Amino acid sequence: MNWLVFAILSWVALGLEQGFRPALQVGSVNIAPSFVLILLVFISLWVRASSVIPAALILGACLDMLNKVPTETGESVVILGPWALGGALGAFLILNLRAMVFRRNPLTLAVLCFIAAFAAQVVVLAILMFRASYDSVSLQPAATELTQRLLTALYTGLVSILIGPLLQMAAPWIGVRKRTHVASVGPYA
Amino acid sequence: MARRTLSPRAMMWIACVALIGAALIPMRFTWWLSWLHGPFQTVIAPISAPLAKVASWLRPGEGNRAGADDPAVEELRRQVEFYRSEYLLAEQRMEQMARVIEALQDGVPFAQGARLRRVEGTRIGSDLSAGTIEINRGRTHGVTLNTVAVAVAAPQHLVGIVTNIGPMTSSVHVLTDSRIIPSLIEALIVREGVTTPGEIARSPRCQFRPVGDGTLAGTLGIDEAARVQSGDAAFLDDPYWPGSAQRLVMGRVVRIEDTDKPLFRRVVIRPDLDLARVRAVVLRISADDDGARTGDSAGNPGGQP
Repeated sequence: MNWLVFAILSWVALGLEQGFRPALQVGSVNIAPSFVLILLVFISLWVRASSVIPAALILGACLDMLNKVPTETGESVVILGPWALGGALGAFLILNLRAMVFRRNPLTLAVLCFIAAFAAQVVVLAILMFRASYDSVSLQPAATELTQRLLTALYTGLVSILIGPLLQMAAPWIGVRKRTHVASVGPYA
Repeated sequence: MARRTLSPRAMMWIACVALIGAALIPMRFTWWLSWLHGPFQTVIAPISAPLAKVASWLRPGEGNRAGADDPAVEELRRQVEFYRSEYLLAEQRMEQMARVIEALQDGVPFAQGARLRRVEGTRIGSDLSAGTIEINRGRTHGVTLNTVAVAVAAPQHLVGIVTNIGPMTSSVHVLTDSRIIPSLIEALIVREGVTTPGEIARSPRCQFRPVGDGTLAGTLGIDEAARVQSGDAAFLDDPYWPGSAQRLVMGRVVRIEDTDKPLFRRVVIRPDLDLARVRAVVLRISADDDGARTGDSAGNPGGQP
């Protein structure tokens, strides 16, 4: 994988996450697609397996830096880890599934985005809920959080149908494999 | 002698274990991580700020306010709102001055209120998960924690309060987010045309709580609820909020609903703006506001502008 192109794409995805996401928000509730997760799934689907988890950890850590957590004292703080671990789990799931899917089908990216995003969201929520038991993390009720995160994952999958072709255009520069050989169909190929 | 190096797989496992530790360590050990948020925002800002502008253009936060009338009517409405809010603030200050005079007569030393400084900031993004908007003004511009933000399009309309500051950026927790602290916000519901101090004093007071759908709701007794009608403005009047936020508009009554308890009604207010999508805000920086939405021990508001 070309790490310079990865850095540029990550920068753009983080900019979209920060700047453009509110335009796609559903009403006033926290349901909006995640552009960073779409990039993460695209990379997990196409890039050499050895580069996927480090890339997922980096993108997840960036999301941790971006998404602050409100506390009961009124301040919002950065918690490093939830998104990094959630992203890594999402990428790991895609690595295991990618040998079984038609990667060029636009719907593949959509379905995998939903799966990876929901897995990541569950990990993030579990960590934050656990922390809330001994720390001053302020969360909405678990059912509300889970519903919003499920719908966010679904929305991310839908938006990835539009973003997927654009990422495909950038694929030659990021270093994706042009062809999937018979010898490399295993999940860790 | 051969030098031993860690394999990439081992390094990845070490990173995962370190992240699990960082994710679970109590906040008192990881508070310093919030310092990194500001520089990180500064790196993202060159791309997120133009995209936020595009997003504001596609879905403006001021949409439900502007465009309803022609510009002249809108300007007049803004002026009416300004003078109304200033008048209510002046009334509140007169009450406080009377208390100060009483305190001075008792020998309490006089403390001069801090001046209010206004700094305009542009929204460079939003953090939907935290219910905040990111502003391109930070510590270097004099922004402090608990600085109050109002909308540029409606200078008397409260947007939120600063909860995180970086060197060049800061985060404003919007009023309508259900996790804002304190979650109960007291407001004075003033009917259109009410001007005399007596009428203002008798106006219903209600403690509103953000619902999470862009509105705030509170309960009133049926007698007080009978004096409220759709369109009435709610002005913040809460000693636990900074002085620079007092008597700013929180929103307007959109409906009054029955509750399970027959003696109470639920009053729902909605801000005039979509607070999470405002293009720009004015930060009302006051030295007295640094430190808290706590008020003093007597329950008096923080510093007045």
